[in-house]
Amino acid sequence: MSQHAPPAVGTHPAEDAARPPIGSRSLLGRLLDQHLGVILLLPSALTFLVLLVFPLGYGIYTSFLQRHVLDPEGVWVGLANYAWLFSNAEFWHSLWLSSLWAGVAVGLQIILGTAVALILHQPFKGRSLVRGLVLFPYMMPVVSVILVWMLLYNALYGVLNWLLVQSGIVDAPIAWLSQPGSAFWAVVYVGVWKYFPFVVVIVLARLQVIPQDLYEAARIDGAGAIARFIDITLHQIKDVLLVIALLRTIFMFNNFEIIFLLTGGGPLRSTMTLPILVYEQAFGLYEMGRGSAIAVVMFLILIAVMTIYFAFLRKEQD
Amino acid sequence: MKRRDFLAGGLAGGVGLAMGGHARAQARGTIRFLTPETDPSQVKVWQELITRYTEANRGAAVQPEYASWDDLIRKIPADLMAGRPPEIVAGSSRVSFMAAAAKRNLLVDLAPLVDQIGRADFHAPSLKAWHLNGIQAAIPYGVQWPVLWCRTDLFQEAGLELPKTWDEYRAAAEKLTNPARGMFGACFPAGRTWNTQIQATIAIWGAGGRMFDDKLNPTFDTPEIRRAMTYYAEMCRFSPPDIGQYGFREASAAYTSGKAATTFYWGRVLSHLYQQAPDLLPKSKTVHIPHGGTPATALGWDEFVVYKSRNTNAALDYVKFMLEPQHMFMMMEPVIAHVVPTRTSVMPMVERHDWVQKHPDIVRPLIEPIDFGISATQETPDRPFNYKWDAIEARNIIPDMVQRIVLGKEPVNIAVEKAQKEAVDATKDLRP
Amino acid sequence: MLRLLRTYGLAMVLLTFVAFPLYWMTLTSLKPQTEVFRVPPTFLPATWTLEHYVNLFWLTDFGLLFWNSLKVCLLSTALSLAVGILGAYALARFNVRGKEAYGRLVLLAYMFPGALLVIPLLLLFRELGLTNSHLGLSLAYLTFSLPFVMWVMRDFFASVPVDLEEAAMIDGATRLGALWDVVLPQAVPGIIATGIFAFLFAWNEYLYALILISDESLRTLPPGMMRFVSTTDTNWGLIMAASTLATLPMALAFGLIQRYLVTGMGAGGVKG
Repeated sequence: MSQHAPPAVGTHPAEDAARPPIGSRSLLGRLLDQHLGVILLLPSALTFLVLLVFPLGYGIYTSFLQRHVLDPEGVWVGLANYAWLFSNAEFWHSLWLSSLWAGVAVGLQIILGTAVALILHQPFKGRSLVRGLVLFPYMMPVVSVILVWMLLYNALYGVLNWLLVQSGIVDAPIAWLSQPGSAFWAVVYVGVWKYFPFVVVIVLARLQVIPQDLYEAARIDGAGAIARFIDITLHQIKDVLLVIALLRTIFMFNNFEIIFLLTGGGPLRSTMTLPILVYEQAFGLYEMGRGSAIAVVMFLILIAVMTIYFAFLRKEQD
Repeated sequence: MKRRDFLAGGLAGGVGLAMGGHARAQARGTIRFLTPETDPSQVKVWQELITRYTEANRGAAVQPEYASWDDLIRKIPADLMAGRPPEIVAGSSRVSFMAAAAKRNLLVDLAPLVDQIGRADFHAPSLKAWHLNGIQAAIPYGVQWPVLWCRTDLFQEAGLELPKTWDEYRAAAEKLTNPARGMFGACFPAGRTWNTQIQATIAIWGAGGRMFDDKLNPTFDTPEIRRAMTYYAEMCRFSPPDIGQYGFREASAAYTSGKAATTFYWGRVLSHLYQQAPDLLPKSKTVHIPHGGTPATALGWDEFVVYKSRNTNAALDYVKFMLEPQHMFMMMEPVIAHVVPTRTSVMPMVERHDWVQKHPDIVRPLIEPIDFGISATQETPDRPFNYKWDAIEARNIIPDMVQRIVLGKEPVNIAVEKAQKEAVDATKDLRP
Repeated sequence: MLRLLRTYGLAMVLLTFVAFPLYWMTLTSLKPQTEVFRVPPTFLPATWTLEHYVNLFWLTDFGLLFWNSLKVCLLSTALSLAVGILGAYALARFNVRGKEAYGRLVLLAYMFPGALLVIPLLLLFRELGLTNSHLGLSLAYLTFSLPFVMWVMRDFFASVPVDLEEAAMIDGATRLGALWDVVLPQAVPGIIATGIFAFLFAWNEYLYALILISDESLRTLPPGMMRFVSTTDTNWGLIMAASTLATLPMALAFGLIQRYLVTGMGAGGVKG
């Protein structure tokens, strides 16, 4: 999950403009209208309480337990799970891999996505068709994506290796997903392929609202293409890029499916990111407590990144 | 239609759909039949058997459920927890998990059913292998072992005999490997998979090693196991480049795609060849797995397990139905020679099968009795059942050891030392 | 001219990069099994066949998986829209204390790692009898679709002029009446686009579907499809046919709203 479209960013100028209306008829109606805001928020608040806040609390609580999946209750072990975690080289390895995966995949998505948005911003025949097709990887179900890439990457009858060998780029087929050195980059490639369209959509939308006269003025001032790109285009889209970078970093950091289904965290833990480590502890070894402890650490990292994001928003609004 | 009505209709529809389906799935009295045997041709048989059974027994309902092997391990505990185990599980239960389930009184003792059908017709050692904690925990319907599939045309071309020992096999594999042509002489799996575990285990036994001693202490750090792993790593050099991912299906596909001159596999490859590469059939032969001193292979079973439930009697009746000779034969027909039937009376039907008649060189090592099959929970006949084995499997200790050696280039003596330590850690708190 | 050529050249490279895997998926699903392993590979099937699609429905439970997925995703989308629209409207129009903080919590909720929630949700749902239930899985999907709907719809509502509601209310409509009669019809395109995204996320979800459902008759597509690979056989034709069919609903939905997506959704989704 967690590979979602970006939520909106920014201010909401129209809100609060409508005050509770004059002239509602019945008392009940008036009461309803006066507290309507709270009433309308209640269902969502309740849902969050039951499905997010309570599980979060329960997850934190579980991280202090030793609990087998079959046990009805766990045994309180205090900070033992965290002590185990922080003294465990595998955890630090996974933390590093997760950060690398999020950083590299997001960086490439942004570079590629922006470049593609710039191309698709040019007028040419068939542009809307290409714009539509570019979205395909993003809307394709993750499992379909994984299955196709497993077939493409195959070392014996995969077409990628065949093309590479035929064109003389490599001498023999490469086992993309099963060598510790290449597996990480192979999953990064799939991650970039799947999610870059997302960046395209947003950057494209932003490009469309850059006033044309800025470019005109720059041209009159004698600025070259590169200068115009840096001074105008990049300057105009940099806030959007920053926001995308933050949000996508979080999504990629949390991403479970792509890596789990392609490599299962292997070979030799070379793609064992934190979400997969959680899965392995909780559902492979039935250690609910240790799994929860890793998840809680992920949550703390998330809070840290979100704090940066909110700070950025505040600066924006000022 | 106004947009708003359209929306409201959509909402109501969505809720209605989900509710309806939920209620229907709760039907009572249905026998849930869970199996990881999900090749489409096999699924056809399961469905045919259910149709025949429910036609003959009005009111009976059997609901097939298909799961992958990996899912099965997680699914059954989850179902047990939810208080709704499948009534029947067919195929590939792990012996050590079954032993634990038998101990917790979750299983129906199938001994009376065996007697009812006729104990004398059954393969006694197979029944014994599933006699756990005092009950007949399962009735195996097929016994199986992997063999070495060989491409006779390639062996001939290279002027080679089909191998019997490790040395012969290594020499052949080296000669047959030509990465530039996409050709590999061997196919040793090194994924974090069950197949890797089985093949590595066979190599260990083939070197005369054992993973546990008679007192059930782990013995991974021995000269035999070091020799086996050294050999395994060497053979991986003559295997396809992506063996780091290989489990069952890849090991079969490497052979049927014509890319591997040999592979370790069970009889199922025969049906895969019929479906995917019929031209390889006349060029294929099987031999027993080469060894480094002691002939060895891994015994496995396909079996029926009945979990205790309200429907126990109905489930037993359906198992009895499936164990009737002609039905048993139906179950093995799509993958003939993959398992040997455990009932003597079924064997003639297998021998009359078209594929068996046509390919004696392929099926003989697969269906003729052997005396060097070993089961990991019972490495020698005269020791107690190894209740510790499940912990080794659950932690992937053996595949991890193989991966460290093959993919991580870790020296063998360090890798086995680590495996020994992991095995000791994983089993030290276990009680029978 | 040169510039145009360059644009077309880049567009072609882009198309190859994006579309080749899609092409290969569809292509493989139309080849007979004996052709999948052929080297050199065939870039158009030497023999065209629909056998994999037939097998998918006759020999596997693909139809059931698809139907189950459809049910769960429709239900979770409907729930998240119903609850989320109300909340988003309140966030956009009312001056409730703590609203900004709540809005931030919603965004935070949207970023929650599934790996964090899945363990407690499993334990909680087990107590509530919500494991092995489509309703339970739909509720689990609310953890990401509800915050998403609220966040996006809040912006849509903010962009609907207030005057219309005020005019309706001066004419005697209640606040809720105005929401139902005036605001919602205006926001329908946004609701549909948001709904399609919420549906997409649920349609793609794997981890919850794997953990919270263990009854195979209730299984949904993503884990169900992985099961086709996890067995002993590598029937790539069948697997690719399943992948193609699983992509179809989303392709249709996106095709229908494509124009709106790139301009509307993008601009509405991210400002600043």
